[in-house]
Amino acid sequence: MPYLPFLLAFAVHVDSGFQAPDLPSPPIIENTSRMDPEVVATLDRAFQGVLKANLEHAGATPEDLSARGQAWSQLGLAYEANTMWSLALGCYAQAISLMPEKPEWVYRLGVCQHAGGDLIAAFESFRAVAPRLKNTAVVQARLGDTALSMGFIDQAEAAWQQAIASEAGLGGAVKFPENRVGLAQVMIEKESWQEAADLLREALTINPAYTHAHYLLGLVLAELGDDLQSAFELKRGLNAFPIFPPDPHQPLLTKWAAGFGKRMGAIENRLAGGDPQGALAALEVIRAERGPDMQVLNIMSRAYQQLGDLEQALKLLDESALIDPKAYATQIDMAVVLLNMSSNPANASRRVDLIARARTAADAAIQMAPHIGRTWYYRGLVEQVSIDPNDPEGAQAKGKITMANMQRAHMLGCTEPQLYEFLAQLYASQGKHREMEKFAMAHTAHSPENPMAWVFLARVRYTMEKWDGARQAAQHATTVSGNDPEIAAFQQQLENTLKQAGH
Amino acid sequence: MQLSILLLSVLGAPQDNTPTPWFTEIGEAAGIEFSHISGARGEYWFPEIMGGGVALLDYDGDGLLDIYCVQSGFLKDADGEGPDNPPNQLFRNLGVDEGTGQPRFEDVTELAGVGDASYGMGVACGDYDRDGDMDLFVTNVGVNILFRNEGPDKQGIVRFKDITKTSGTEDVRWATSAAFLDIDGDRDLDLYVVNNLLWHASTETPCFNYFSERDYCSPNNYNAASPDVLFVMGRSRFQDWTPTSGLDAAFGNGLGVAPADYDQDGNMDLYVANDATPNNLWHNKGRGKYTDKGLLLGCAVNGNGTPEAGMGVQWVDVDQDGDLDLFMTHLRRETNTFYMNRRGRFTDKTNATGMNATSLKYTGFGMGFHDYDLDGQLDLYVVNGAVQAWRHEEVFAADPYAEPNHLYQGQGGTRFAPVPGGGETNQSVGTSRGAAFGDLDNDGDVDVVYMDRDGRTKLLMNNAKGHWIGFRMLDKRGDEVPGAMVGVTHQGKTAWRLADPAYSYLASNDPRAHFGLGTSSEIEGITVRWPSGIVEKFDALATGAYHILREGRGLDDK
Repeated sequence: MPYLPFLLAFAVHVDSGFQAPDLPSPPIIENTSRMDPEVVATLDRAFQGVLKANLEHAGATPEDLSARGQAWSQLGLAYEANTMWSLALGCYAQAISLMPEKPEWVYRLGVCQHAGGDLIAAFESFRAVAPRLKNTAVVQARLGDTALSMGFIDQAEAAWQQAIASEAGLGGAVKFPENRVGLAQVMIEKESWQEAADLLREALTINPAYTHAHYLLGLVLAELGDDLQSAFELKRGLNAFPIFPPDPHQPLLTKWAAGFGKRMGAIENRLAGGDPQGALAALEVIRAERGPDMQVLNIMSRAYQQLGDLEQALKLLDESALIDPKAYATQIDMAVVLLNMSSNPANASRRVDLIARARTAADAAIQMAPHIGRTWYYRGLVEQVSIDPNDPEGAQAKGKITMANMQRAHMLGCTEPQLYEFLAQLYASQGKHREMEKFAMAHTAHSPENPMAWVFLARVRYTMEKWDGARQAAQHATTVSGNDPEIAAFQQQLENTLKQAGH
Repeated sequence: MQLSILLLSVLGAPQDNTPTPWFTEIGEAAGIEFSHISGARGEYWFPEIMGGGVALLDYDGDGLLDIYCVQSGFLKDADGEGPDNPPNQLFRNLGVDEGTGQPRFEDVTELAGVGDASYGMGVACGDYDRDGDMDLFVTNVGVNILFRNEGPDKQGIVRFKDITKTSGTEDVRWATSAAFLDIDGDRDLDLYVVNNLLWHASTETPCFNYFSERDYCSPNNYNAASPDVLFVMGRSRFQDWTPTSGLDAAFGNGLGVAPADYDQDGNMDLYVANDATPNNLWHNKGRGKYTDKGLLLGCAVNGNGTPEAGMGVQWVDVDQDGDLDLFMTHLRRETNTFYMNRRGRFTDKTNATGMNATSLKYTGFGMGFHDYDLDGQLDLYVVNGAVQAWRHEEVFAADPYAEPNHLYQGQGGTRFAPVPGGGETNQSVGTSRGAAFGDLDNDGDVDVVYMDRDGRTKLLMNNAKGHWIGFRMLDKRGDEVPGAMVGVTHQGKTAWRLADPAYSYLASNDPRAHFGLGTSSEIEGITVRWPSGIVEKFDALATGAYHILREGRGLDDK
């Protein structure tokens, strides 16, 4: 069983008698061979911190106890950051026994107990620590949350009231929407619908994009008899999850939550934020650590696409396909790169060849994963791009193939954001208005926060002469855009047009 | 106190005050020789972690519930290759053995002809052809199988015939749970089949747990949810009505299904529990046209707006107010969730059940609300088993997916309390999946049969003693009818049960309605809301027995 060098070193220290006697040892993870090197390094640092504290502060003076307690708490944070709850629990228990004067570790213990599914223990920890951290909103909120889960409504209400009261300690400038939502949940349990609605609206004033508040407001509005607005809010709130006020340890937890998945997620965020150079630098580090890896190469390819170097992007995907020839995602990425290359005027002479290669890649993706809707979506996309407006007969045939592929993608549950809009447009081109509206509505249901989906629906309904429906969709577009001037202008323009036409 | 001291001194030895356990496990001793095989070979193929199913049905019409166990086996690789699978097994109930006082079973799989050897998942039972006997529909990773009960042959042996190819139900997609129900009020049973995701060995993807160790993926890793299918019985065969009915408008990674007329409008509705995607409440608008009202009525996602990993599901009147509430089991770090029906809208009232503390830690699958201890209050049995291994943390058995099962005793209202040891002397621990509920020895209490992944089938015989009454529901033609709501009034209060075999996870259950009566040795009356919408009252009947209630004919007490 492979052990990390630092663990071997620790074993040697113990055998050599360097370890201080009768002091508890940190827990050991036996097999770290597949763990991310950054995670291992983080754990190693914190682990050695405990060893060092045990050696250098083996005594019982307040300073010794504090130094050892601090080291255990840091190891607990390192484990917690990487979701190793049970290991973190043991470390926090040590920290608490060595530093009973520091209530924050009781709080962290409660967080890990809750994450591990031990609701009763978590509730007891939060209840114990809440009076000592009265002005820490997140502690009160966690107590409120666990109390509510246990069915202790009065305790939950008192905790969230205290969470709101604690904001005064921040000079009154900061209001946490999470505390309003928490208290609103208590009001919902008590069936005090109006109070709940008021709190949720207050939370949404602070943070208009707070999905949890939208969902709860939808439930409350239904109780208050406003079915139309309820439906709208429920859709906006779908896929919400509870969140808490800021946690004082969160920056460190985030920093230490390295892990391959998280590092790749951070790189994806960099790409989404328009930093392909930074993403590439980080990817090169991972590539050096892990060797050839399909996922790494595919994201590197996307970074090069952002930089406009499509040839390099394609080269990386070729390399990726050699490593994992059965990865349909690589074939889809290839099709996308080749399509982008085909639309570059500099490649005009190669356009037909590039589209043919894109078609081959999309076909390969379908062959590898015929059950995955995305493969059919991209096959349809290839066909759509290849339509030559100067060849009406060919265009009609390709339009049919596009439609068939997109329908298949839809049937297979494809979640590509543009699929519904695509289908609506395809049906529009066939003059099938009911289908056009159906998919335009599906587009808004799938992407309720996307104002352009609502704008599209408004246009569709305008085409169908459904004036009120068009108005309604335009109004939603303006609302979800947060009164974006361009969207608001569209709504106004639509309104003017309708009024002029006497509708 | 003085009396007990006196008694102790007279008897001369301390008495054993250990309460009788609620259940005694007798599966192997009763002749249920069935061991589930998942076929796990270290590839972590997703369907391996989801099976198997179980049904309780009286296939031979002798008044005793028999047991059908659905086997998984070995999944085929990307080239369609793989070892042969062991078959599903049918165990005939021979009645209670005089020596042991417990029921005995014999394996009649070959005689009955129901040993399908596909990679099995779940099972639904119903008399779809209205010939007076129960037929079987088996869901698979691959083609589902419809077995028609042909009745007894000349030797008196009841045999089934595989009529999949001619029935119109042939479908290759991975199906999980299924239910027979009459969606269009024509009194023929239709068939709803829940599909999970479009799985194939070639679309598998490696997933890792927190420790970067290989483990099973989440269904969302596949991004391939599969639409469910509604087969409607035509003149002689089923027809795919999915698009016609509107049931293709939404779908997720389906696992559980429960039909019921939740809004009492005379049309059978459907609830589908999806894994990590919003659940569907298919509201029947009449004539088999459906619309998904889950989100708008508050039961598509939990009270926070979060889709949970829906597994087992049951329509049940938990708060005993005459309408049907919903309960379903979920993944570790999610609660098992209770949606209270409040005038047709559903509210997540899980916090009020008292079950959060125990359910958060475990992954629930099969489940059933029944009055197990006959005290007049509904109780709940949930079988658990992880879908990602317990490692470096608490481990409950050699199998890293194993978890203890849970029994909750009703405390009145919507409050429940966990029963120590799950109601057994030695608490069951395993990777439990399908669970079916019914009275196997007709002694008036509800027993439990459940499947452990890669383990043998467990039969928990209920040891309760007390007052009870039960009902078998027949329609005007005398055929078994699923979906009736039965109300029994005693001590001035009416308790309601839904008589339908389709609930829990990958299971088909005792179709009879069962009531514990607490201290009541008599009842005051019976009310039935038939699936047709007709409401009938029946006179009080004797307790301590099962009775037949026939639609439109008042009492038919055989």
